[in-house]
Amino acid sequence: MTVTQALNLWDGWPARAVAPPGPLAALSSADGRRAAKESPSAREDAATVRECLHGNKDAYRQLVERYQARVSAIMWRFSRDPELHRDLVQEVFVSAYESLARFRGQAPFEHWLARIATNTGHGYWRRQRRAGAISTVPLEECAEMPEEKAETMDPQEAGALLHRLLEHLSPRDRLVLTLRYVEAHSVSETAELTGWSETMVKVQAWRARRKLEALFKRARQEVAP
Amino acid sequence: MNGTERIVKLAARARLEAPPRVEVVGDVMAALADRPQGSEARVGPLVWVAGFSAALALPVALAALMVWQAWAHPLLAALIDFPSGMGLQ
Repeated sequence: MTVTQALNLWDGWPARAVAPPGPLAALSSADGRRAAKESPSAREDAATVRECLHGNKDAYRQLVERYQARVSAIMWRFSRDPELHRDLVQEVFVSAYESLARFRGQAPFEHWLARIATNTGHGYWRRQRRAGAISTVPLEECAEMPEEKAETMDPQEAGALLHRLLEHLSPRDRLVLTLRYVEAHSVSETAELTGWSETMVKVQAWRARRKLEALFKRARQEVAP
Repeated sequence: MNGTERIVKLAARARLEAPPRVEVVGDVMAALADRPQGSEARVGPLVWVAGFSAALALPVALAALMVWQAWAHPLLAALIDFPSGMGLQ
């Protein structure tokens, strides 16, 4: 078995069995990509972007109105502080506006925006890490959690716990696990969002899982008498 | 249950969570009010620098061409002198 085969095997489990197809599933195939690009909403977005590029700033308002809920959902995975979350959503739209001239229309605007949002979130985590402003949940708390509790937990509580749990990892590891497992994106979607190659995504996810396992193992050893 | 399974189970629950609704249109438009668009903001100064450099470079290039034409080509001179230099003539 080659390394790539082993990584494929590793990566297909267990997220694919549990997770529904991600919102960027259309990117996985050439037909899906073409259909997404030629959809009426994508054509409408492309026309609105052209208007913005011709100096009509008000046209951008329509794009913000159309996508603020989607961007809000993405950024909620990066910060659960309502104020910071709001600032991040705003930062995404400002960055997108500044890079609008680089939007080539080869992918739908929504996908392009999702990539900017992912980069903004990753940047925020790196800044947070450098500033040492991270408050992680003790791993023992999670290592001792019964399986049934994880399956029936309140969604908001689960989201908050997961967020703080992944803070134990580096921003890069955290990003790949968030995209693959929390957002349930496929390898190709994750590669599209991060700008990494698919092999890079698989290797990074494998390393991140290994680090996480090591952290849990250490936590269990600390709990055991 | 290992770490990855735990993450997957929590993630399945977390995906059911509704993210907060935010209304950022006003703030974004206010932030953009004074900003030029990306292409103008970043390319604009570069265009001016490029134009200024081209304007400076043109007379220098013309002067260099005139000097070159007036000057004997050193390589040509060396080639012409080669047989005598080698004692062949």
